[in-house]
This record gives sequence, C-alpha cells and structure tokens, in this order.
Amino acid sequence: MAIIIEVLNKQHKVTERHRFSQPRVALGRAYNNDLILYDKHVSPHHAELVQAEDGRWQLVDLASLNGSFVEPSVAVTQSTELQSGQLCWLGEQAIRVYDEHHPVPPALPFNNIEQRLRRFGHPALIVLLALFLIAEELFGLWLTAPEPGHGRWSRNLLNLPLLMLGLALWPAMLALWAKINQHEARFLPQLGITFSVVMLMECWQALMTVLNFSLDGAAAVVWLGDIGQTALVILLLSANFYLALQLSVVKKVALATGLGLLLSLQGVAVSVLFEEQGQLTPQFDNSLMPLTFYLNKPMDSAEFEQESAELFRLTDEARLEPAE
Amino acid sequence: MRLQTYYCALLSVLLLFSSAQGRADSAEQLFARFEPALLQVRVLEQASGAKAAIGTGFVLEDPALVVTNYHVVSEAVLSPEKYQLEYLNARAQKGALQVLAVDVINDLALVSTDYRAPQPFKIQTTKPVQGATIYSLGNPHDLGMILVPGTYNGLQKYSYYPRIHFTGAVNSGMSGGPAVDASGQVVGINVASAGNQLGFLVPADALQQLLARYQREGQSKDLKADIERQLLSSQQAMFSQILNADWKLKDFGTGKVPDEVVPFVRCWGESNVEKDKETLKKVTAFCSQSEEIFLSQHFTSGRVEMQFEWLEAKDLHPLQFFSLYEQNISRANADNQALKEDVTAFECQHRVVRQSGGHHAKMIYCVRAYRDYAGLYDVLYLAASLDQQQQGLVSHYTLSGVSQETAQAFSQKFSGAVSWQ
Repeated sequence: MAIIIEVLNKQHKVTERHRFSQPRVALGRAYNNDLILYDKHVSPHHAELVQAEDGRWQLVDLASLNGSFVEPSVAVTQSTELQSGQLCWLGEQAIRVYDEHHPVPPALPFNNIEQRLRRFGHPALIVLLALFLIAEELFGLWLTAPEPGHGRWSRNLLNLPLLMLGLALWPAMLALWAKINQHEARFLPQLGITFSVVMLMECWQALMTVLNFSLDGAAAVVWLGDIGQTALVILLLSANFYLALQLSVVKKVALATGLGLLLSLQGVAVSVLFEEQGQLTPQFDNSLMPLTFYLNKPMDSAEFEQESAELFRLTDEARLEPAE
Repeated sequence: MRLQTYYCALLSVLLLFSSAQGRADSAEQLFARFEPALLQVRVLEQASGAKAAIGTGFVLEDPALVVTNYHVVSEAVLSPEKYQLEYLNARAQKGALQVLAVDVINDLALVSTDYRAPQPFKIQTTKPVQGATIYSLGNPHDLGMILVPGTYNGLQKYSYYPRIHFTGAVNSGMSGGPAVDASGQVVGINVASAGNQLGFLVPADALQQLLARYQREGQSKDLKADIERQLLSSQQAMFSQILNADWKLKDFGTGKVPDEVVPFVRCWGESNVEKDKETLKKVTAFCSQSEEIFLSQHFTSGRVEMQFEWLEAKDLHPLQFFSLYEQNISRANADNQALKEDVTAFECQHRVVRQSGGHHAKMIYCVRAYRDYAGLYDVLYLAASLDQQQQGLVSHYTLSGVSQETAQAFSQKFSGAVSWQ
C-alpha cells in the first residue's frame, strides 16, 4: 500500500506532496534519501518510514541530532506507529503522512458569488471605471475653479495620477495579503471592485447634495448620507474580503461590517470632538443650487417669519441651562 | 485827552498780558487744585489680591460720590464674588469703593467712597463752544495722574450713543477721568480713543441724568436688572428711530437695497467690476455703526450691521456660478463679541422661501439669547436670491441686543426695502 507524504512549511501549508510505493522511505538532508528535506535542523539521515507486515506505517528515528516527534509533540524514542493524516516533525520540519485510502472531502462546486466578483477584474471595466473617476474629479474641478488657467487646475491635474494610484493601494494590499497566505492574488478583481464602490460613493454623494438642497438641509438627509456611505464601505470590504480571505462567509461579512462601522464611528467621534469649537458660530445649511434642483415646495415668506418665533423660544429655554 | 487814550491803551495791553498770564497758569493751577479729587480706581481679584483692571475716577461735590466708567468697574459689577474695588488717591491712601448705580449705554458708573476731597469737581451746565480748550485728567497706563490739554470739537456726528469728540490723547487707564474746561468744571468723562489725538468723552448731560436717577431711586438693589432694563429701553429707542426713518434706497445690481437709513449707520462699498479678468463680478456694500455698548471684557452689544453683495458671472455655467455663490454665503457670524458664558448657541432656520413678489431666495435666520439679560437676543439674517442662473444678490444683517419684537419689526422693514429685480 502506497504512502503519501506532504511536506509542510512553518504555517503548515503544503509545499510538496510525494507518493511512495516501496515499504521503506528514507528521510533526511543527504542526497541519497528517498525524500530530501532542506531544513538545516534536519540530520542527513534523520528518520525512516517503515511499513510493518500488517500494513501499518512506523516512524523510526535514526538517532538524529534534533529528534523526531509525532502529534501531539510526542518524542519518538525509537519508533512510533503512525495514523493516516498524523502530523510529524523531523527537527522543525513538519510533514503529514497519509495512506492512499485516506478519505478526501467532496469536490466544491464553483462559488457563484466568487465567480461574479472575479468578473470585476475585466480590464475594459477597470479602464471604464477609471475614466469615470477621472471625469468625476475633473467635473468637481470645473465646478469650483471656473478658469482653466487657475493655479488649482494644474495642481489638481498633476495630482490625478497620484489619486488613482492611491485608490489602487488598497486592492494591492489585499492582493499582497492573499499572496502571503499562498492564495490567488486577484489584484484586478479587487481593483475593479474598489473602483466600482468608489464610483457608487461619488454618485451617492451627488444625490445627497441635491437632496440636501431640496430638503433645506434637513437632518434626515445628513443621516441618510452617512448611513449610505457606511453601507457602501461595508459592501466594499465584504467584497474585498470575500476574495482575499479564506474564512467562512459569516466571518468575512462580520469582519467587514465591524471594520466599516468602526471607520464611520471614527468620523462621528471626530465631528463630536470638534463640534464644540464651532459652537459660537451659527451652524446653517448654505447649499445653493439653481432652482430647478429644488424638489420641495418653497415656503411662504410670511410662514418663514412666523416660524422664526420658534428660534426665540428655543434659545430662551437654552439660556436657562448652564453654559458648559 | 491824548495822554488819556495812551494810558487806556497801555492799560488794556497790560490787562491782556496779565489775562494771558492767568490762563497759562490755570492749567498748572487746575491740576494742583484738582489732583486730590482724582482717584485711581482698581479692580482687585479677590483670590490673588492682584489688579485685574485700572481706571480713573473723580470725586463730585454734590452728591459726594465718585464717577467713573462702567467698563472700568464692570468685573466688580458682574462678578462681585470674584472682584472688589479699591481707590488710590494722590497721597497714596487706599480705601474701598462700592458701585451705587450704572448706565451701560453711556458707560458710566457712580461709586461710593469714604474719601472726601478738599476741592471736589462740579459739573458744567452749559456746553463749551467748538474749539474751546479743555483738559482731560487721568492716570494712563498706571504712570501717575496727568493733565492732557486738547480741543472740544462738539458731539461726534455719526454716533447714536452721544460722545464728545476731543482732540487730545486719551490713553487706557485714563478711562473714567474727567475732562474739564478752563474753570475746572466737568465737561465730559474720558471713555475711548481712536488713536492719534482722537479721543472720545461721554457728555456731562449723561452724567446729570444718571445722577438725577440716582437721587430719585437711591442705590441700585440689583445692578444686573438695571443693565437689562437699560439695554431693553435703549434698543427700543434706537430701533424706533431706525424703523420710523424713511429708508432711502439705492440701485444695486439689478435690485435696490437700503442706503444709510439713519445718520448713525454708515455705509461703505467696493467692487471688482472694472477688473476685466475676474469671471465673478462682485459689488459689496457694507453698513454699520461705529459705536457699541460695552457689557464686559468680551461681550459687546447694541449694533446694527447690514451687508449686500451683488454677484454676476455671465461666462459661467449656472452650476459653476452656484458653486461659487454657495461658497460666498458659507461664513456668517455675529457682529458683536460674546463668550458662551454670555450667550446661548445660535439656533438657525434655513429654507428656500417664496416672497410676496414671486421671487425665490434661500433664507437663513439665526437667533441667540443673552444668558444674563432676559428678552435680549442677537439676530443674524442672510438671504440669497435664486431666480437668476448667473446672478445673485446676497442681503445680510445682524442685530445685537434686540428684543423679539424689535427683531421682527426690523425683519419686515428690511424685507420690504430690499428688492431683487
């Protein structure tokens, strides 16, 4: 009965897999071994795997310098019988030993979500998204700095490549992380996902700007905007982690949600901390857009004046509360 | 006969000389005569015993009390548990002072003392003539009592709160000191300076009125309540003048806005219209009052300020124009100084409003209340017209220390006066 030996790295990931049919397999650093190991703590003739007459395999230590061990770290004094799938160490080198009838898990079907997420890596889509983001940036510049000769134009144009590079940094980090953990890097899908969600964020922002003007800076719009942004951040992280991490789906989504909430809570904390400074300057909504963007019904000026009485009442209440 | 004429002429020349001699002496004599009636007023912090503020005061003959500025003693009036008052006279004697009555509108305070000067001051009953030499007395920067000769130049023309324009150096520390005429009678009280030989005095009339009130009502039982009453009635008087005035309008952009509606509100303007390279043409008019009411070190009130801005950018897309327009109204703040111990935070409302003429504007209205003075508010208004695609008119005003009724009446008068097209 043949034996299968997996050579593992320090993270217990398989680096080599060998199948031997003979009843005796020599392990060590010397070149005349059946399985040649590289680890410097492995002796030239470190150990042997020997098949007994009943078919079971035994690990025999050949008086190695650093010794041999079997799971759960039991030193092999002379020889120890092995179970299929048991982990062994020759010095620090980990190997796993299977007999050829060891059961393997059933084949996984293609993951539907993963397949779809990978389609974001299409180069044409990425180019399209990048062009959209550049156009969006140029539109913002056009809006706030009307003259193309303005110093801000040249400065912002020069910054454009840097901006795109900055956006690519996060997918690059995820790809690197996957690579370190010996998974597929999937840089292009990650880049596509990141660009798509950033585009969605920009669109959401634009929608909120119009809504904010239409509803006269209602607090609900601010909340809606914040909730939308947080949801998009969670969506982005979930998709990123789906491709980059080898965790269960629940764990990936939980991690993405936790991180997304943490990021937006940080934003809230900063605004709460610095709100006190602006307390004496009046806080009002100054949004101005052409009247066609106003979807609400304009208030009557007499009504506006009447409602101002409420401000006097509110501040009258506030004056009796102590100043912080 | 001829000899007689000659003697007569000689006599008159001699007389002229001697009188000139007399006047030259009088400045020195004045100082010598009145120095004992001048006091340095010190505000001491009770915890440390150190001076927190200094000013000058003078002893009156009738009633026998000390006059100084409200702004000199304000800390002791507002936080008597933290500050106390002390005087220091010419012979370096010290003693306690106690505030009897204040007039914040005219920045005056009456203070009682046990100190009796040999020759106290009297108040002049007739106004000096323009150009008359008067003398300001006080202790600038704690350097010792001095006398500053200068010229009486009548009442400051464009101030709602009456102030004598005195050409002479009034420096800090001299506040609360008297300005006297050649005979030594009090014409005014030193109150402020606008730099180079430009000083301001509170006229003696205001002191007479405060004394009359004091003699009628006696020592004030609640100084803060007095201040509240004074602020309320002063804003009412000032605004009835503003609201009853016939507001002259001037052309502004395509609309009309109020000009100098009353003499004490002065307007200035600027524009970049003749500069061809600016894409955003901007015309600004700015109206405000030069004087304000001092309430405490960091709290002033009693001012009206209006501002108008006409913006036009024919070469810009409406979206571009509105982006610039929006930035233009992003910052607005109160015109007066205040700390959060003095006022509440602003409460604001902001809406797109349809006016009676069918015009649309974004309107912002903010209010904050005074913590110590019930019924008084600071108000801020900002409106930006929305009917044109590449033109906009921003109208803005702030009122400080007004009642709700005053604020609403002003709002109506203002909205009626500003026309957009």
